[in-house]
Amino acid sequence: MKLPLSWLRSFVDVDLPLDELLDVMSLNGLEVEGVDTPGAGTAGVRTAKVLHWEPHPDADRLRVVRVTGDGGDGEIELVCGAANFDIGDVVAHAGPGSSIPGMTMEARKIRGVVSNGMLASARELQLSDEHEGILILPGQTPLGADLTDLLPVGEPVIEVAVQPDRGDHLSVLGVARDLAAILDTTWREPEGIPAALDAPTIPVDLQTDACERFVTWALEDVTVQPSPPWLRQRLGQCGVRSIDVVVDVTNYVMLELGQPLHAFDLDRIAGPRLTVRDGRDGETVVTLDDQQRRLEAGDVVIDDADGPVSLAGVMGGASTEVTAETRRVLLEGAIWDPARIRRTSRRLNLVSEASQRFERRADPEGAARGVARATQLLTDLAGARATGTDAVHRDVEWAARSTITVDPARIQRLLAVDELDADRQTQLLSRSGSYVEREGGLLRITAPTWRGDLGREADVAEEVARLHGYERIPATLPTVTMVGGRSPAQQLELELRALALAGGFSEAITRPFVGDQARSGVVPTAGRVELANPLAKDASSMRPSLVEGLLVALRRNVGQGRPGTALVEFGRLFRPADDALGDVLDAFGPAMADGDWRWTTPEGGPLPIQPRSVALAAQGLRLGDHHLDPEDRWSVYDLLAVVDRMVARAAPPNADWRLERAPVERDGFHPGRSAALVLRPTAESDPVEIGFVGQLHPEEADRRDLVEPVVVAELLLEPLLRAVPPAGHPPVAARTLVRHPAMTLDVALVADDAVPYAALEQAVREGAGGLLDGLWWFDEYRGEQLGEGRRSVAIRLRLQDPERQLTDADAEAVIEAIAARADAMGATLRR
Amino acid sequence: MTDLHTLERDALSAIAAADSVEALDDVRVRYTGKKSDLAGIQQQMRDLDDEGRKQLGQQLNAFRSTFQAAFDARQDELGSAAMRARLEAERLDLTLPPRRLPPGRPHLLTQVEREIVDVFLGLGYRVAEGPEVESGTYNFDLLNIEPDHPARQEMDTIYASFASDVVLRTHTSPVQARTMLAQQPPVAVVCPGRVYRADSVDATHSPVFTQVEGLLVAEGVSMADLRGTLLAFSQALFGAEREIRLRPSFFPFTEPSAEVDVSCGFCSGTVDAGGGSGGDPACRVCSGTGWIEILGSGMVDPNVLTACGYDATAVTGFAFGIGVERVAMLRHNVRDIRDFYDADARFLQNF
Repeated sequence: MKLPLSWLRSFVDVDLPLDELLDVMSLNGLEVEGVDTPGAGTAGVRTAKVLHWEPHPDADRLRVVRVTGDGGDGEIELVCGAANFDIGDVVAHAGPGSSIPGMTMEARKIRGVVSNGMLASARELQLSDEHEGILILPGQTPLGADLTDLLPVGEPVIEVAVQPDRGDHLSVLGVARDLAAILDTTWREPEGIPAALDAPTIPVDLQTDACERFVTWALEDVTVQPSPPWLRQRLGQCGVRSIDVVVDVTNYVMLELGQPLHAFDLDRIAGPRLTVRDGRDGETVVTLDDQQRRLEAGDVVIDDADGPVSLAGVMGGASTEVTAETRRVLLEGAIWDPARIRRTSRRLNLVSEASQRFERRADPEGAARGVARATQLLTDLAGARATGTDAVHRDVEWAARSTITVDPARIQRLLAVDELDADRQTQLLSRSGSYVEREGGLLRITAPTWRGDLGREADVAEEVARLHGYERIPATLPTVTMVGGRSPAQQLELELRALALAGGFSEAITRPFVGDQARSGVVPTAGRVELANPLAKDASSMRPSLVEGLLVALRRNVGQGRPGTALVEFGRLFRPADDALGDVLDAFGPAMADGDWRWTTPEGGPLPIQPRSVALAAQGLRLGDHHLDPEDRWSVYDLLAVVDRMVARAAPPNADWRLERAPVERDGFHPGRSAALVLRPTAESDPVEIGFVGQLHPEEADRRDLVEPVVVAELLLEPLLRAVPPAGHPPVAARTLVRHPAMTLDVALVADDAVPYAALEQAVREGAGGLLDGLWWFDEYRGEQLGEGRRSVAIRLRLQDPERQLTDADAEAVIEAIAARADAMGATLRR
Repeated sequence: MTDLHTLERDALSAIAAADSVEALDDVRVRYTGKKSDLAGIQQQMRDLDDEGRKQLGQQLNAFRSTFQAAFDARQDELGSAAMRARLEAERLDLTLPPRRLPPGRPHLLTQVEREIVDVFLGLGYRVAEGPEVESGTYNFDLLNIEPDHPARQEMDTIYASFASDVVLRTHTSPVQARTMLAQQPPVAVVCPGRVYRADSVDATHSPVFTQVEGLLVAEGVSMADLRGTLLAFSQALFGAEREIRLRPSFFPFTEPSAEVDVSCGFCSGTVDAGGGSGGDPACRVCSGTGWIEILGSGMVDPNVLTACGYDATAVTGFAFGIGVERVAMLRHNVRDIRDFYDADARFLQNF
């Protein structure tokens, strides 16, 4: 809501400096969004009368004009490009030495004729957006007067943010009233508003509960003409376009008093009466903006004999619109059900100044005053003669004025302000128009008709606090003490994040929207959580995987010329409730201390699957700090190192959680370098896919304009985090450090390439049995003597026995055991 | 037959001439080995009488100790020269960058979010989490935001298409509702997380952003407790000398509601006793007001308490919501909100 200062001051006495006024407003519930000063910079512009004009001798579109000089005497010649004036008109002359916004005048030659300044337009003076020629002032305007003495050109216009529950702030009077309450001063209504006439207007049949009252005035002898400059300026200051005096006055009164009005051309209303009723499905009405609107039950319409002539509370109809020929006007001011107006406005996507006010609730007692005020102005400005008044009213529940009882002691405790006792609360509430009675220790409050927001004790508490000043609320800390802190699972999540960072991956956060072409990592499915109103075509669904966002991020960094990038993202991925991913999470149920991983609506309906996950993506070279090795590229093994460590860290004690790699072929990925990461949730369960690692297929990398290699991994964290009991896993027990020296043993196994390393390692582990303290893969060899398609894998073992020192015989026994296990699986121990 | 004197002279000069540990060892073998002249002289012993044997024995001992001393000295000399040569050969340019892979950094939003959360953990809060694709009931209805309420429209909600009342949560407040429905008071939680609005991406708008909301409900909680808590938070995050200011505002889920400003630390905006202010008119951050809007807050609306199963006559509470991006932008001079979500490595590694 924009508030010209002069207008505000006509209803409340404010003598604070502007800065202080703005502070007071902001700190007491009138949030100032900004201050504008349209027309600032105007100085020395004077009124003058046009004495003579003739066409410019050397330019078709220009006129050479003579106007009266300073003090209304003498003659001054100038050149003007406008054509909307004639001899005798009073105009705004910006002579040499004067200034208008952004420009200082001086005499200069225009096509051979000296122009002593210019005749200013309303637009140049920033009075309004009108640009049809120069500003023409009323004929009786004194000549030689400084324009800023006639109009408040350049005054501050304060813009206030209107809260949804404070519809009363949508008018100058409403803000003035609140300001008076804040400043503890008085406010006043416009003067000279006429009283209702005894004569009737036109019968109105009120058939719907959506209308609380319907007030009309009939006017005759109306001259539809442009509004005077002062009115146009105020509309302009408030951002409303000037149309003609009738429309302008209805808008002016709406801005001034908050009551939206409508003007019908009385001669264009068909039939003997108006009917206010509920709309019906399929009806249509053409609104003032010449759009045909299709109605539904729930809308509210005003009918004449031919059908709907107005979409009530939202926009008037075109068929009864006031035109230049209109002579008889029916002014209407009504009060409409906020909920009904809101629904119609939303459905038609038609937000008008009127609908905004009605849906925030207009003051029922303001309707009659609004129509009368418009009548007063049209009498003054358009020669109108009022011939009748009517007001129909209906008792409806939504407009009922309520009285509430509150406990001032409880309010005082809530606000914790000592001096805010019942007396002080009564005083403050009275200041803003409430009627307050003491009833024992309680207060009975009847809020003023313009305040629909004071319905409960909490509302009263806010009103009291705001008028007393939030600044007077002290600062204390709550006396209640509770045990806070992160849960063990939340602690684990922090540790997992630290592991990824330690692996050289920078944390990224990407927008979780994807288009149709998104790649998935873990358990890829076609399931998508699609958006009803996506912001872009390539953001039509929530991400089904974290992988796609990181691939896009890698591309961005390649585009920046980075030779290598490694990113990690922690976040949720999204799948429909019935997606196969749900089976995976369900399979972890027995391992989850908190197995309730599905989110539901309050009614128990399913929400999409949205497990916490982590993804890693790396591309190009592994960059050190200011160091690179052109041979040192990211590989799938770098990602496996991180996810393996995460699972090891998260594994419950006694659970044998090691990620196994099951080679898979998936779209977009290198068939020889991709694996599902599988895990047995419990010793008894089948392995399930909890992650994925893979190198992007060369064609996919090329399609994305990424420099190879590009590797990604994804791991579901939800099962790991939910495996943590609320009190945390039991503490890790220390292992006894064996004092006897360890023995180191190297073995090499030869097998076909098809035999995975994991199988060879398993043979070694089993052979070493209980003596094994640790093992390391350290070499892989291929050569002629091994034969085509075969390799030798070397593994170093560390053996130890807690009870005794190991001997050569122990080593022999281990070697023989490994040899036997190797034989059994088609491998040979090299001797 | 070489006499011992000659032998000693020759041996000492050979030791001196040896230029490596290996050459020195050759000298030892040549002069004291089994086939050496010394061995020949020792052979003579058995032909001598007692007196002669004793004399030669003394001479041989003297030779041996002289030889050994010279040998040891030369060996030390040659050994340390070899070590010096090795050390010289192994000299490294320690100004070269180390080859080790540097660890990554947590995202700035993660860092700031954690810092905010930690302040409240210190005040006894727990961390609560919830889904990002959320039921409209939790996101709106339980929070006193009715279907046609203007506030619901202003939230520019993104909806899921599979059901009419499932939304991308517009704030983390639904987590507060879930918490209250699951737990009786007293309750104190912070709810960090990603939230969504239907805003197109530009320098100051993002369809996804990060909030930390907080909720405390117990018997006798007052608005002064809210102010004290937010003052403690602001001073922890922005500096001990910061002041805060509460302004009346409107949120559907709180009543009374307050916007909270913190005194500007960028132009050292000063606060006078009356709550008035004087910032630097040229300050980019506070535009000369001396105050920066940082969060929204209020006393939990009784409708919300009731809807979530609490007795609104027995307990009161406060709630607040902090925009993590806004705090991060203010503190770290980030000028474009897109930087948070574009994953440019230069940005990620900057903090």
